[in-house]
Amino acid sequence: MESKTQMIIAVLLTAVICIAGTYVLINGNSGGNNNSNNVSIVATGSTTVMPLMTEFQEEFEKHSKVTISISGGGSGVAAPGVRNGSADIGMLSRDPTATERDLRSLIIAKDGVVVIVGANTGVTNLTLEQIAKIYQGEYTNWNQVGGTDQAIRPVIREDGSGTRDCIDTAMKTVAGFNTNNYNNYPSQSSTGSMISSVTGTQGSIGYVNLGAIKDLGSATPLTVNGVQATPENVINGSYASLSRNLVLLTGNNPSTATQSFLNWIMSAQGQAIVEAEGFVPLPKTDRP
Amino acid sequence: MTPDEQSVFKDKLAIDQDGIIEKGLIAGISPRSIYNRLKTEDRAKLILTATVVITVAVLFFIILFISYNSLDAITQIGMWEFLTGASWSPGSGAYGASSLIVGTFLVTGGAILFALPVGLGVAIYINDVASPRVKSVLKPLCELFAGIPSVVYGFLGIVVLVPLLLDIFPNHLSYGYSWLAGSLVLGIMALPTIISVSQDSLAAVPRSYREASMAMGATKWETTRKVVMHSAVSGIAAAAILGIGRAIGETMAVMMVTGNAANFPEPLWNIFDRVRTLTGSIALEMGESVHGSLHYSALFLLALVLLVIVLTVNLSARRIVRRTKMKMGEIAKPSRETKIAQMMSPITKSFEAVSDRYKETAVKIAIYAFIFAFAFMISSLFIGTYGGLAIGVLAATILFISKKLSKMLGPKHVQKVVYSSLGVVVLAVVAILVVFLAIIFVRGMPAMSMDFITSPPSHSGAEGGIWPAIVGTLELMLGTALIAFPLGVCSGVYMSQYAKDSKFVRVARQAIDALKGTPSIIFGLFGMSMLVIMFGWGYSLIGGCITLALMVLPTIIKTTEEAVSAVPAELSEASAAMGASKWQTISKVVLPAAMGGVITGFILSVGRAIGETAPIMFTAAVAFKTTVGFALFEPIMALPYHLYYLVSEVPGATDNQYGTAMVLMMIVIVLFAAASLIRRTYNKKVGW
Repeated sequence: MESKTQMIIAVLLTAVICIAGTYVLINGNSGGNNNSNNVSIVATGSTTVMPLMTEFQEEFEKHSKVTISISGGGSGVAAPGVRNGSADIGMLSRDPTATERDLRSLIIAKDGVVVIVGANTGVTNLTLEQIAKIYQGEYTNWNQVGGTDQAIRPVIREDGSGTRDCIDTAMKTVAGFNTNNYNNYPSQSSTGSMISSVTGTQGSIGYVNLGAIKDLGSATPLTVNGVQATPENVINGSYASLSRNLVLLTGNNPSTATQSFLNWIMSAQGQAIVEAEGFVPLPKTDRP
Repeated sequence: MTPDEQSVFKDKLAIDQDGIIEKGLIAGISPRSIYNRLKTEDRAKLILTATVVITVAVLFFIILFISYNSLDAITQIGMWEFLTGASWSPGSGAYGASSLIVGTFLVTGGAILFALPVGLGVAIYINDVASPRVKSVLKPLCELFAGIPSVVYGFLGIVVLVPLLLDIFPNHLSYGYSWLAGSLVLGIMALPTIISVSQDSLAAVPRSYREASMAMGATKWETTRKVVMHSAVSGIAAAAILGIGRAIGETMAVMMVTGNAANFPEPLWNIFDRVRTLTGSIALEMGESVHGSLHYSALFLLALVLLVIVLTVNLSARRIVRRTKMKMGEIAKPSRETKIAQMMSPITKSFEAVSDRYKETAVKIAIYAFIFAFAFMISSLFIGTYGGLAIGVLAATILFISKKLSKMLGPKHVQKVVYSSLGVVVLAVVAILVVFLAIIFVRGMPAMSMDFITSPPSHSGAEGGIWPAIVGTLELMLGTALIAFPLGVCSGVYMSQYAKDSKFVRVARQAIDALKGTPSIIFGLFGMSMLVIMFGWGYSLIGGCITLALMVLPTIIKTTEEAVSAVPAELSEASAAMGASKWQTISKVVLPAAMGGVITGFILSVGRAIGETAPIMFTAAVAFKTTVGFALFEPIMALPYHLYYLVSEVPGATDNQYGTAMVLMMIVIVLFAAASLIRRTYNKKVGW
């Protein structure tokens, strides 16, 4: 009995060690190279920029030996990540704040915030003022803004989200706007869960970034003050109140790999991906 | 004996007499040379003790790191303001956690309200009715139930439960994401704990109790209800409390379905409202908060509050069990009572005297009041206050009538009714599990292809495969196993073989129990603050492995200890009688005999670890990394985090979501199957 158990253990252990050993042998070399040449890039920050970044990564890794890891978190973690060295690139879905100016920033694309509604609202356009009054709890039924008799169910993004920051800033231009009611609304931690929440809820209203317009499902995008959220309108400034920049932060001396990645993003090839993803590429004049 | 040997022998004697360290200090010898001089016996003991010390140190460091990081919040916000403030809105500088604390208790309470009766019912069924064959199916099923990763529960909650609830209560549920959804998911998750603990305590009731009752002519059900449950009540209470403890610390599933609105439900029992829990807030906002900011510190303070709540809950469970064991005479009463207990004893004694006299009536009144209140709360949500009152009275009356009716029916029929309805409950629970698995596998099949398994994700995960995530999960599993196995097994052996009733051992036991109940997200925060930030490792494979290993360590210690203690004393006595030393006995006789149990427990723990999301989301896992490699200090992709990412970020990727969930479940099921196979072959071989 003893010997059999020992056999089992021995076999298990040997198996584990063998697998681990072969693994290290096969992959160890590439891992070692990675470290010595520092061709591994870590990007962290805004969940709005993240999907775009994954497209960059996929394309860029095809013709370079750079490995890129991407994690979300939100615009708030971009600068600290770059500062403490846990990330090479910080992703922001807004302009850098005063405290983030010590880092190098690069505008890679523009974006607009799209207001979306769920089923049964009967509304296709809202003014910014109406949106603000909905979110501060003054309007509670769609018939108050010209829609059907259906309760309004606002959904918000979590504290720290760049998208929420953008629309809140816009709504704050409306006199008397406050966020006192925000604790009554479900708060979604990402663009994706925002969409599922709005599509799954009758009479709901929420907001996503321009790039998410192709994934809206049964949710409807609204025009704001009569202007549709499109790349053209973001560029020509007619959707200015709800548009923003997508920015990448790096340290002041980025590694060669990081720099070549950034250069590639700003090239025609990189900017074509920006457009394909539904964001607004930078006008040629603005590219470095 | 040569002179050389003599001197060594003398040295050994001296060590035994003077104590190892003292002698070393006096003679000015390095620790290494002391170690070299030790007998194998003492070396073994030293190493085993060291592993236990590490375990105790882990708990100490967790508490230290969490408290240290929350200092800023305590000094700048103030403990009282933090605990009582009603508004949680870090963006505007409001850090009032009361709605989160209340939210945590509401979700947990709702979960237990439905999980305890159901779990107890299943436990009674397994104990009373089920044939050995049915039992042998139900037990592993229960384990598998417990092994389904939290994020998979959350995923099923979003795709199955939330739409279902919206269909059932279209007028009351405004968003679907709700307290109700959270409690249902949590209740299902707490079921396995409640079932196994209460079944153990039912089974532990001495046979003689049952036999005496049956001999008096009582039916099986009457015996169970009046005798067995009465003496197992502490175990059942402990089951409830442990279930609560597990539910309070649960993160991913809760966060995904409760709606996360930091407010009080209106009215407070409105189960259709949205709530936010402590764990949900930490997981939701930690990624967003800036390291070193007040917000960051406040989240650590939330974790500290959570830790205190969970430890209190678990401690009270232990106390209850101890007290009843004392009452039943299973363990001796402590020879001297603590000062506080002495001061309190007149009060507790008089309380006990009163409560004994009026216990029955009090319990009866409590049950009626509870039924009334519950019926009122729920129905008033639908038909207003007066309607609710009427329904409440109706419910109490129905209870009264059914009691009278059961008296008229006679015990035989009552037993039939009870056992068949318990059977229905068991069927329902099994059906839920089967439906869960069926949904994942049926909807996951279309995604399955060689490409899905072997290629990296593309287009944000909407297309492509999950190869890096599979590899990452396997690497995590391997690393966790390599770290946790030696530490856990050595500590377990020490606790069962060497531990005497010394102060150190008592502290170690407390620490292991406390670690066992610590929520996984707290391990995540600990790993983040120490490994990611302080050590500057960033997100790394090794960070994830260490965090997960620490998390499973207490479970491995416990299962090892149980397995080793279960080896009959005759074996080690025989070995000792043959002249073997203690360590020889342990290493050659006891440990091999216990290995089946040890490995089974170990595999089950690792199976649970790899399904965890909360500990790795701040220490190891990133959303995207298309290359695969075994680099210890690089971040990885992992299946549970990838599933969470797909569900929350890529709503269109249904196929890939189900596919990821299916692969994750397959790995878990394979591990569980391996564990139960080992146990089965082992049980057959070992004949005691």
